[in-house]
Amino acid sequence: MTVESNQIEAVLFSAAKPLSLSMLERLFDIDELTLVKALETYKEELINQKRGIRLQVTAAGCELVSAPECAAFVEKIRKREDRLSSAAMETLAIIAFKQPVTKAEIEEVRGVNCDKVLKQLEARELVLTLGRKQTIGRPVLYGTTDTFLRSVGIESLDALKTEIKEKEHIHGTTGETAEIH
Amino acid sequence: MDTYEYAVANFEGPLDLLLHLIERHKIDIYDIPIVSITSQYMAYLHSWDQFDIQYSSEFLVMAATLLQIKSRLLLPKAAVEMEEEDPRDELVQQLVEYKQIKALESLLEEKSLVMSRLYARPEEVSQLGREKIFRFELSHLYQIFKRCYAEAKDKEKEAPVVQMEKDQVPLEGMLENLEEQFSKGLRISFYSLLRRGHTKEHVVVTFMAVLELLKRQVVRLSSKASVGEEVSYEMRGNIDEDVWIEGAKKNDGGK
Repeated sequence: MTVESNQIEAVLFSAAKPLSLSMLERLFDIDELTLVKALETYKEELINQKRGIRLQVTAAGCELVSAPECAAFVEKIRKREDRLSSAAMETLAIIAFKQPVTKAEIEEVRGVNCDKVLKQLEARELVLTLGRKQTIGRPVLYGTTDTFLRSVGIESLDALKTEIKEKEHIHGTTGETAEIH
Repeated sequence: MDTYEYAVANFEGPLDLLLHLIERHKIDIYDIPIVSITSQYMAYLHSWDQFDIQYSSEFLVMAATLLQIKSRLLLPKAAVEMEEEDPRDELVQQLVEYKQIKALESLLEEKSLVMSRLYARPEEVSQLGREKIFRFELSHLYQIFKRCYAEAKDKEKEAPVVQMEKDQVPLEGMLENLEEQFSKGLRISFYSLLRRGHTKEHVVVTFMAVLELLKRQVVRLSSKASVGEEVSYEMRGNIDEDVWIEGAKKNDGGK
């Protein structure tokens, strides 16, 4: 049992939205390993053949996107997503790092009020309420969404955490992790 | 507000400013010269020519904290050497954490910049995932609603006549309540959900809440009938137990 690149392409094109790996497995009736290999092959083909589309795999699923080198032209017919303010980015970073997290905890890290920013992020579906913390006042707990991971092109929160750790390692910014024996 | 933020050189908050000062003077974050950093911080505040109470107050809290730490450091130490904690500890901890967040923020910034140049097909084009809602026509929901509504009315009649304050059921409250229950994994048939209401008002509000949640795609409808199977309620006769509602959001933030 296997799946050809053209079959993947056809399905992803007509879906016009991210499809999860498990959905693709069922659709093609293949196991995960076969699918991942086929996706990898397809991904490389798109690059090697200098095609105008790319395969993007994020937490939201697999989807086709335009190639980055063609952005200059695509931008002429498509509107770019509004950039997030740095306050929003900062808040998003805190939630990504510490979720599930309450508003009070976010404000403690930032040192400023976060009402407006949180509403903004919720409206853009980058964060959502996960429930309420069972403490006094039952404050709302926030977490990031798959839409967020899709917007930064990441497969999972763990992948993000690994990446940030590697970065710290290269720049040696932490200072405290230096171990002495 | 916006012009004001511009005036203070885009600092997101007191910690941002403090971190900026520390980095500019290449200070070791674990050994901050409180006296000089405080005076620099204060100098910065003095340079503002506008005052916005909401925004500035957050900077003033930090100024007060700095001054407090400074005064505690200046006080003569108690004669007995005790395991005294450095008054700067809490601030240092806060700064270290904030610095970490800043690193993550710039990583996210980088990534979203890359992603903003990749265009997916417009999602409005996609029909995927919508057919589930279409399969249940509104008339099915309305049929169930009508039955429950009629039953609720009967119940009201049977109840003894007591003068009571009217039990108001606000739609917002119902929405919030249902949303929380569904996000916790509640799965219930539409019929039993409506039957929870004892009064007409309750049934109506529940129905409205469900419609709203469907619109917001917080919940979805499902049927026992497997996908593709023709659903014919009339023939089966038990429409009541065939329309189920459950939370639609798969949230997990990534796993």
